[in-house]
Amino acid sequence: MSFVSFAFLLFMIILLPVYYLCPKNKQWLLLLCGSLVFYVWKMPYQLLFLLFSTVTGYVCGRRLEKTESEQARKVILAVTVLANVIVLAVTKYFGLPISILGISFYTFMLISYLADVYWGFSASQGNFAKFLLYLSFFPQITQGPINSYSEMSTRLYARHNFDKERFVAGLYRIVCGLFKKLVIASRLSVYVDRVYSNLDAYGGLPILLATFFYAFQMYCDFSGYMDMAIGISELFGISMAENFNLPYFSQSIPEYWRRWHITLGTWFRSYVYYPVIRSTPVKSVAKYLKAHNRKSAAKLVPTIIGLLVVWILTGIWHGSGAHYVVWGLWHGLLIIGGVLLTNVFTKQKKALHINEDSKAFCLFRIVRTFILVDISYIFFRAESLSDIKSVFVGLFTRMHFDIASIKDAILPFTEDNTSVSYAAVCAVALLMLVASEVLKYRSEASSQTDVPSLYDKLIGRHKYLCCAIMLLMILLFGVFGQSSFIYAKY
Amino acid sequence: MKKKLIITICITVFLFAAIVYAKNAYSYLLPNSAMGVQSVIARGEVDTLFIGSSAYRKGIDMPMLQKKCGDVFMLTYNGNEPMNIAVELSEILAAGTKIHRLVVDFNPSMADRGADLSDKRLLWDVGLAAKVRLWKYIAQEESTKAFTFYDFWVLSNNDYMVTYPVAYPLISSRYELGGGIASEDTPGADEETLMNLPLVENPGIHPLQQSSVDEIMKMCDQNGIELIWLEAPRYRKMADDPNYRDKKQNLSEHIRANGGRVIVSEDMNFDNGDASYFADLTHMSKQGKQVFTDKIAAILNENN
Repeated sequence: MSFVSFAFLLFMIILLPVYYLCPKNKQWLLLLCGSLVFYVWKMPYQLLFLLFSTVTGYVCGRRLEKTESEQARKVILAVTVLANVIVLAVTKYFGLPISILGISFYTFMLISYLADVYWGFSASQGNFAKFLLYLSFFPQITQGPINSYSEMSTRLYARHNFDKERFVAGLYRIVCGLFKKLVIASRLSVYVDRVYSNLDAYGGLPILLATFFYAFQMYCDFSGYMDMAIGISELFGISMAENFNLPYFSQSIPEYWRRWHITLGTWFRSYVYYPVIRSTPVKSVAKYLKAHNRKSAAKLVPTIIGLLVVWILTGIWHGSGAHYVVWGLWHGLLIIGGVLLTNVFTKQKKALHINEDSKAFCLFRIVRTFILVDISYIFFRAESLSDIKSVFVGLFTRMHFDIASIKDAILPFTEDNTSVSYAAVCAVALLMLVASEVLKYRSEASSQTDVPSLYDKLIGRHKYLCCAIMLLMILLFGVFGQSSFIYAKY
Repeated sequence: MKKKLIITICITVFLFAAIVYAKNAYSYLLPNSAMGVQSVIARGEVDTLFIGSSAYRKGIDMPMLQKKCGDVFMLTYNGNEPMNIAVELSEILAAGTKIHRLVVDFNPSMADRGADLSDKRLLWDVGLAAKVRLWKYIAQEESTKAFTFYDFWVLSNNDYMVTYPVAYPLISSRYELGGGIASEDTPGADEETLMNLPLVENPGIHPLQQSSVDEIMKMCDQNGIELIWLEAPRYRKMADDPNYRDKKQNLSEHIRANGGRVIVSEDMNFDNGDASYFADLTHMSKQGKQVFTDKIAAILNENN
């Protein structure tokens, strides 16, 4: 069931009143029933995979807590994680004719739960149904956020009274998400899909525009879903982790990854990066380098190994295509390059008398980071390595800026005369988004002062007006044909 | 907070309803002299009016035809099927427009389906009554869903509505005498490309389209308009397709049996095997457009 469907609207209209009217101690049970209906809707076979993960995770969690032998605990953990990773790999990478919604996300949540229980960071869940709810909670199951068990367990199973303010805030968040998805992402997707599905037929300018638009399509599609997921969860009185924090205002690639898909980054840092750099082989390499008087290398090498592993895995997690690995490596190498060249950059900035805190330099860094991220989208959006080649060939050999080429660059929106109007509405919606995010970013930067920011004055205090404008735009300019989200396939 | 929320919802609903109603009831009143139904009405009187689909727009050179035949004008919508043409014609005649000769696209491919509206610009150009009539036809189709209703009444032409001051002059500049301008002409394709293009032809003529053909003939008869059903040439892959040929024969026999005049590409000796005349299976190239226009001019002048 998609968030952007009539069936989901009906589902919520039924579930919400029942949730607040039923006995408080049964609310979690109702959520579980609702989540299972949501998940098996039209695709009941998916439940088998979810049950496999739940049963193995539940049994392993209990055994980990009861087993005292460290060796046995390691074996239990390794076998369970491996079994689930194999199922994930088979469903994702071996061309299975069926797709299992959200399997990547709940497998990661399962691994984080087991690792936390293994490390003693949280207790295992003794109630199977409650554990099933943690993995299947419907706002998060298809695309995350990848919530940690320790945070979610206190919220999911608690008793929730109807909180009017929270409910309205949740509705506002849902409207924001719908606006991003239906008015921006779905509109831009028409252009991007048309150009990227026939790269050789288009000139450099449409390819450049499609790549630029894809950055916003991706952001609005994914963060729009997150807004809806978090908003829906708020309607039930349950807070979830934030997954986005103005990512295109990042001044460096590491900062970008602290602002984009935050829960995936946190997951990889906690359950891949740290375990890798603390593993015996990596420690031995560092020890060897230290013993041979290469102290800086001893510090850097584990970091580089950890980063490479994380970014190759992040690429593979997104899919089996080689272009995903190239995308992961691109980000990994940019971060590693940044780590290795820190001293060079510092010296250069001193030599050129660059004030790091100046607005111009910050803007330069924001634009530079956006361009680097947008280049990575070429690898991400392309469907093969030959597509990547076609993009660069188009960009470097067919780029023209004459009037005819500019006119032609607008055409892919609808491929007829209405393209101008379609493009204009896209531009207005994008401007609204950018303006609101700029204000938010500036208010974030000046959050230490007591003076209310422009964002608070214009948007914070006029949320109802903003909500009405967004609703009108959704109803009049929304593209309702596509109910799927980009990240649902990962 | 509760009061604010209710006021917000009420204002949003009111604005939404007002915008949707205003668009559906009054959109046709906005100036439009370059293309569409209102551009024909604005002229008041037309000697020869062509009504058809993009095959006409891309296949007939209107300025050249004007030089050879005098007062001509064209009304086209993409995928304009007989059902839509009947609605357009009744709207034009109801506004008191005088037409002496009407050349209608004889298009068997558009007559094989039920009610469909592939060019929503038509909804912008006609009044509420015509929209209701179009909707009644579309609602009868099995494929019509709740979303079709929303798309038809709410979503259609909204982009154009809010960008009208900019979009109208831009779009108008791409039309001349209701037809496409010369700079929009496309070069001819090669035989291999054309033969590899997919061809989807449904069998049979749909009853709704057949009754619309009859309605068009009746309207012309009642208003003393000379009517010609003229086929725009199709590339041989399509022209020789058994389904297409079958529909073409049935439809032309039906029109002729009711006293109508049909001119098909064979009657004009148009070489539909020459790939350089075509941009794709149904649309002509710049070269094909010149040849076809010459042939139409000869027919019209012969008639005079």
